[in-house]
Amino acid sequence: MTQPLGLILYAEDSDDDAFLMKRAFAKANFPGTLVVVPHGVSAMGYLVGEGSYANRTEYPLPRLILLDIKMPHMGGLDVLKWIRSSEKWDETPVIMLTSSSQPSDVETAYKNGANCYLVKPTNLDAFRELVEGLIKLCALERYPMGILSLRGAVPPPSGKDVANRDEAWRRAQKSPGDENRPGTM
Amino acid sequence: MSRRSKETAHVVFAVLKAVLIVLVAAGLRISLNPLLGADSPFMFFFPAILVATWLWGRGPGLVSVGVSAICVAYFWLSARGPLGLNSTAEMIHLGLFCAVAAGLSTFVYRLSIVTAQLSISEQRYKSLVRSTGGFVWITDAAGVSKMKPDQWEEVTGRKSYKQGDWAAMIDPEDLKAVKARFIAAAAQKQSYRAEFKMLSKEGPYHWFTTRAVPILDKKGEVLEWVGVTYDIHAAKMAEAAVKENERRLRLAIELAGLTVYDWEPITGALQWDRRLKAIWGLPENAPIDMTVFRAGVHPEDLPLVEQRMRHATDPNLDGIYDAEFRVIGIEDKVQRWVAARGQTTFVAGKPASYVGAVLDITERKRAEEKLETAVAERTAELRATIADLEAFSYSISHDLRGPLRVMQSFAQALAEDCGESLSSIGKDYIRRIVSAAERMDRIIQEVLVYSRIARTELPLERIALKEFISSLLDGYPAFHDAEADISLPEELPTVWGNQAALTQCLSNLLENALKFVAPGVKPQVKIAARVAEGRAFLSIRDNGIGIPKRAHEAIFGLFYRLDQSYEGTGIGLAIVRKAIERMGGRITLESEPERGSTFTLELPVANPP
Repeated sequence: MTQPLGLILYAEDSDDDAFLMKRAFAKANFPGTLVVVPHGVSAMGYLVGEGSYANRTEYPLPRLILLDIKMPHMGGLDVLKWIRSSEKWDETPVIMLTSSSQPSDVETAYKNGANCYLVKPTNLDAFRELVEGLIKLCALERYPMGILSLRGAVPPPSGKDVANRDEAWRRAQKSPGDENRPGTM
Repeated sequence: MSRRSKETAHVVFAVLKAVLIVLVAAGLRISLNPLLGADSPFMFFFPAILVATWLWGRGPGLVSVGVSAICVAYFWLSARGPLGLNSTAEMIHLGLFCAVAAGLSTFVYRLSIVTAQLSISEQRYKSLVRSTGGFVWITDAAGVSKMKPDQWEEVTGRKSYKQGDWAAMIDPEDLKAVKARFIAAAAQKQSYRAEFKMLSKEGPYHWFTTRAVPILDKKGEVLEWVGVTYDIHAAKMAEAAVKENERRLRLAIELAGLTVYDWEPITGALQWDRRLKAIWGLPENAPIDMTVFRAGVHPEDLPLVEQRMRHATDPNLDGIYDAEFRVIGIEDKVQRWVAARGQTTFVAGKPASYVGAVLDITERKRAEEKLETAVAERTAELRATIADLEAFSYSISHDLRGPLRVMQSFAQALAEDCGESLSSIGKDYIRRIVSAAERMDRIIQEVLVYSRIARTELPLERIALKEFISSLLDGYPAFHDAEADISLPEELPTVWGNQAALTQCLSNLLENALKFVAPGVKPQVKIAARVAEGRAFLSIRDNGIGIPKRAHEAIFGLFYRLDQSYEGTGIGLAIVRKAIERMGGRITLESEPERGSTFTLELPVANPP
């Protein structure tokens, strides 16, 4: 059931947050799928195609990954490190989504190749704005640096991390198999 | 007159005096003729001859004998005529007289010479004693001096002397010792010496020394004591000064815990004291040489010590030896830290002598190690505390804000999704829930900012206030909309500050200035600055409601809210003060109710790079 804008994988342990996010996507008439997994381990399971996730028709590879930081079993930062340790996901933007802009988390996230660090919306209007931004992002052929204009985005603390991020992006742009890019999925 | 003719005149004069005294004696005898007749006329002439010989010498003496013989022969032996000797007996008498008188004269002459020599000798001897600044004395066998000692006046400055004076002038303590010496010497009949303090012309209690010898009679009993006493004050004082200096030096060395040692570069011999041997873990009587020295040095430190010794004995260098190293006691196996310093003296390009000192610095090293450990422990504790604080604020932001966010969002969702079935009262309740949740979220965020400002490092950088504040105002729409009037001067100084912290300070102050105005009043904010003594004073003046004097201090405290009718958390100014203090600055306030407020930030001025 491939949808026009593909699939967004969202790792989130809080039912409430998951519900609000799903609601916002539904309200925005998202022409794709939002898959929510309850923790980091199952996010990894989805990505490597474990168990029922092996069915890529039903569970296609995500166009975008959203990771909560504080989760049981495996936190978002560890999932991020795992994802960025392989070139396989270089082209998939990973967005950290969390309650606070704790500077150490922000730094770690950007250092480890997160494309964006977002503070979770505190009200419904903010949810709406964020989801609209994410849907726009999914619709793009290539991911512009403008990813930081998302609602709630926290910029990297130093230029060095911007350079890291840019490097990750350059790698992503250069990688072979352009035809398999999520945009063309 | 020449010397010779002077001598001749002297001799002639002496002879004439001899003749004269004989004639006087003859005259005296003649005047006694009526009484004595012609009996034993010679007797009168002996005294004259002796006097002449004693006083004027051998020649005049013999002349007086001759003249005496003529006088006797002329006046008494023969009244008939000069030298008219008429009997053999008379001739024999005269001959005998001449012989006896000549003999006596010769004897007296000898005696006079011996006496004169003795006198000279004594004079010399006394001069000798006098030159030492002392005096000579004689006492009886019991040590009692009846006579005034020679030079007494010169030494003591006292004219009179009576028995016992001397003892009275000696320091009473010393006198006891002197007496004890004397008694011991008297019992042994041996000489003695003693040193004592005595009142002298030079001042009270000068040091003197006495040496005395007993004179024994034929039976071996003490006849008298002859002694010499002289002034040794200067020498004694110098000796005392040297001793005192030595004592002080030794004391200083001991107090400093130093041990001093010698090394003879030529023979390689080492001289160590007891304490240095103890550092090497050796008993006092242990023999020391370079092998022993090396054996005690910690093997790891030996190369350093050897290198320093080579340095110290290199004639081309300064000869200084300076090393800190560990010693492992040869017998007690105790490890000690020592600091050694020394100096080699070179003669003709070769090390000739060496003096060094060693200090046991084990305690210091131990204290240093302890201190380092303590510092490391404290640092670790502090780090742990900071980590705890970070974990705490982390959980506040994640765990407290999460549910709040959910409450807020679901309240809104409730309004959106089920709004139609809700009354206006129900909608009002939802609005209140949302606003309370928002407020709590804001408080949590500001507490986090405060704790972050209070504990994170705030590296200082140059901040040009003009550009900084301009871009700050541009960044916040509220600051430049038509509702407010913010004026900025043409020039502002450059200060040392932290960008993030200063942004926080200024935006909080500006927000307050715009917020706390009476209803219907257009906010007017005037920013100004002055520089004095290396400090910049940046003031932000508003036309707000003002702050009463009693609240001037409290307003900077956490959660203090002056006026509940204005929205706020009561944390903003606490953040400002904490931030400005962390940047090495100060914040002051001038304000009165209804007259506006002026907050002044004081920061160090930075000169342009």
